[in-house]
Amino acid sequence: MRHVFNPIRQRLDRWQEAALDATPPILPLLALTVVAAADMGADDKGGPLMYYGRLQEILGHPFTANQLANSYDDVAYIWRALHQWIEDQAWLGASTILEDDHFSRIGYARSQAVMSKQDALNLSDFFYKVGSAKLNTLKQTQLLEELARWNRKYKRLSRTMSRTLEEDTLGSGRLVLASVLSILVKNWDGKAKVQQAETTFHVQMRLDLDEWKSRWVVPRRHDIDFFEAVDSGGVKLRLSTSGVGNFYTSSGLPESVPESIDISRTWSNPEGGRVLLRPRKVWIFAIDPVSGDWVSTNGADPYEEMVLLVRDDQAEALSTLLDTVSVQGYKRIGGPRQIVRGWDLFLRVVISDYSSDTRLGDWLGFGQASAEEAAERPRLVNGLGIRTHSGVDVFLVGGEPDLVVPATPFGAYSLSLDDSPETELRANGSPLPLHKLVVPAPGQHILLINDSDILEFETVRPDHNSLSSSTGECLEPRHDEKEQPLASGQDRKILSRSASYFIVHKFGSISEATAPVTPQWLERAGYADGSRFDLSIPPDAIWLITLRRGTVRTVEELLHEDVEVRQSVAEVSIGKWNTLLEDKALNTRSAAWLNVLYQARRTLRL
Amino acid sequence: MDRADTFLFWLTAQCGGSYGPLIRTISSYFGEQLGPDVSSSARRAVKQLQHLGYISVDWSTGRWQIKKPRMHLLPGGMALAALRGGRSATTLSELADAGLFPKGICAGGASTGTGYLPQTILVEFDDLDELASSCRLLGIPFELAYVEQLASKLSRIGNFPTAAGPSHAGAPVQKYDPNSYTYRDVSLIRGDGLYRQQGLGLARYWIRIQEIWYHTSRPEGQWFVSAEAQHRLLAWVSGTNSPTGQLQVPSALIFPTQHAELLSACSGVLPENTAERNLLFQNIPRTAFEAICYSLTSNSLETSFSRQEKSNVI
Repeated sequence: MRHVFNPIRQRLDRWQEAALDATPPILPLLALTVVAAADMGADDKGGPLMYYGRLQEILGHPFTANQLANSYDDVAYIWRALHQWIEDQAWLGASTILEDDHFSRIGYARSQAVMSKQDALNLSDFFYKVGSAKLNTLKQTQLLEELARWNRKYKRLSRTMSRTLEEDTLGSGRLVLASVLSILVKNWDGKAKVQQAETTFHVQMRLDLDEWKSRWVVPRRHDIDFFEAVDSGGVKLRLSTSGVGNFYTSSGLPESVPESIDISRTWSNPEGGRVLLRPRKVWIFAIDPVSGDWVSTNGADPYEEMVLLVRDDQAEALSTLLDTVSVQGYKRIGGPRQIVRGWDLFLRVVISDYSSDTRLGDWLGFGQASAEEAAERPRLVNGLGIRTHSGVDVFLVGGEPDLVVPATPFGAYSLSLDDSPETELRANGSPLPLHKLVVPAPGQHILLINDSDILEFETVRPDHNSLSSSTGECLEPRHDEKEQPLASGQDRKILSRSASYFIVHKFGSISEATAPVTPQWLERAGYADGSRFDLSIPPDAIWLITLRRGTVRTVEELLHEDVEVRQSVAEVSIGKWNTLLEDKALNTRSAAWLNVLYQARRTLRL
Repeated sequence: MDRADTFLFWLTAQCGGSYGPLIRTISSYFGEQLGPDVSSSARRAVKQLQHLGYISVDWSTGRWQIKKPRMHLLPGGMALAALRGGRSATTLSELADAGLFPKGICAGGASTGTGYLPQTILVEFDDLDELASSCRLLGIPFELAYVEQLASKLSRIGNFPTAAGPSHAGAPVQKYDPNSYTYRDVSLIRGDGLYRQQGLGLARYWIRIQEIWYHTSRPEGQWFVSAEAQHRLLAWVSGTNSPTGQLQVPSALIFPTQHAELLSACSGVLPENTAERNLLFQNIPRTAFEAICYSLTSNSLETSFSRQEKSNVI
């Protein structure tokens, strides 16, 4: 019985020899392999090997799962043959049968399982988020669009379903999805999946640097208000919500961090819920925005200030490494001031880029406790983000975000940006500045990472309508509105640098207004010569005379007051009065000005 | 449009937010310009944005807010107005459409390495009334005497609240040396002066006078003590017939925010660092210089006030 699928393979051979003109005879078998693939992982017990168990359940006796697994090479061969046949039939379009690097045999069937049972379960969370009222109003295409946006943000669907959602709107996979989705919507029980599933909490460490204390906390989940579990010794752990804050009020957690930091503990309950406390080699902390305390996390974002807690026998090595990669400004606290006995604290650690030295990435990788914690996914960080709509982040052109792909054991990841060919990059947690990769123009960008994660963002120009209109809406505190009234502009004049000016004062003196030299500091800052200057008008200035090349051009009365030319005051300005008397346009001047000139001529005997 | 201008447009669109994320955004966005100690440099950039009048920071709540766009006349008779506060990508074209002539200059003045600061916008105009009415149409208040107004608001430092002194446990207490502008660990608290205790990322400052402790801030405390120890901390030099001059001050002495805003508003640019470790503020009118002197140094024992008077102030 080793070759379970031999008869079907022989039928394939015969069909191939018969010029391939009829429907392939292998479709029923392949359809069943797809059903088995869609059924994988539905009850959290299935790994890759469970595929054959599923297939065995479908095919029934006399086959065993092992027999199916041992002869499955034939099925893989049949899949490849079908793929080749489709590729040769132009009228069928491109084949969607894909190879899988990891699942080299069952991957073909998986690639056709547009929606797995796990997907169907996860969809209940999507339905829950949309709400039943809205769900019933959405058309099929709208429902698919909403689902695609939701999945881009939360990444809850399988690779195959994600890919199908992103394909062309006329793609056959989307048509299948649309029809299945409408059935699932009708049959949805109105509950979210997370309420039905097993729940796992992870105990985190919280540092209060003002009180210089450490303690264990459990981050709060907004869908669970109360939780109870016991450990293997029967000690009860109780979590409950009270007031605001990001943590549960708890009883039953270890009191002392130093005494429990190296111990692995698990509390569980009959419903399958668990609370895990796991030791780590390095504790990485990020600030909790509500309490202002530092709370342990699974990883670090670049440019985010963090705190590291490291065993004191490792602290020197970390310190040396931080210095080596030019991380500056951090502070190490150890010795008698250790906040957790036996561990040194590194404060104000900000890592901008550690791509040059993978050891730092390794160090930070130790911050993940174990495989039990949710693995980090590629994500977009930083950038000049302006808003989020429908799960798509929007940034300013030029302010594109950075891509962070968590460190992986393989040390590499593949990236395709906007359908470009895949590029292999180092996966050590360093940020990849996307502003250096994308065209600086508004548009939508899609990143496909490792052919499995899809991230999407959009860019708009800084002069986009939605930004400009908001400028005036930013109000400062009210006290700024109570400024003193603006001073009047009447005592200042804006004058041209290309002219010269005489100011005639109350008692007949004349001063010359000269433009200030453009200062060097202004030139050094990049300002070229201006064409004007502003003049503070003296209180006793009555007339302003504009001259160009020594000739009077305009005469302007600044103040409606008579000039009283006094010889003792005016005689220092005889030269300037002579210039004014040589005005060739005297016949066009006002009577008031002519009267001033007459006074000056008579008093100064000009 | 360079990255710094784009960043200002982003700040304007954001309106405000928390200080921490702002530091992170600056760190990542200007990572290459800020140098190795990215975190400290980002904090310095926020202060500079504050001094240039773009944002305000409320340290008690840890939040920043963009300031509304405003225009003021620069002192010095150059017929230039400076635009400060938030601006959008369309602001300059709107100014030009209104008949004004906006021109960008480097906000760092002659200093290098300030590429992360948006250009200071100076506006040329033909007539003050036209400028005021154009600004009104654009919803940008124009302030003819902004510098003088800021100067008149400066109060004399020294109104420090009493406080408990530094903690005996914890980090070492340091005393400020007003001659070298540095802090040194002291095992015993002895004598009047400025003391500080550096906690975890947070330093606290106290003035001690006749065995009484007063809470203070770093800039005010340093000025208070330094002015007592030295005669000429502020030097103002102006050319013949020039209404404005250069203000020189030791670079180790940090101005309180209000003072720094006033000095930056005089020129629209940040001070230059000189080889003698001084800061050189440009285009400072005598009124502003006198207001700063009054505010920061008039409490000095060695200048014009008696110790008794000073005690009364405190």
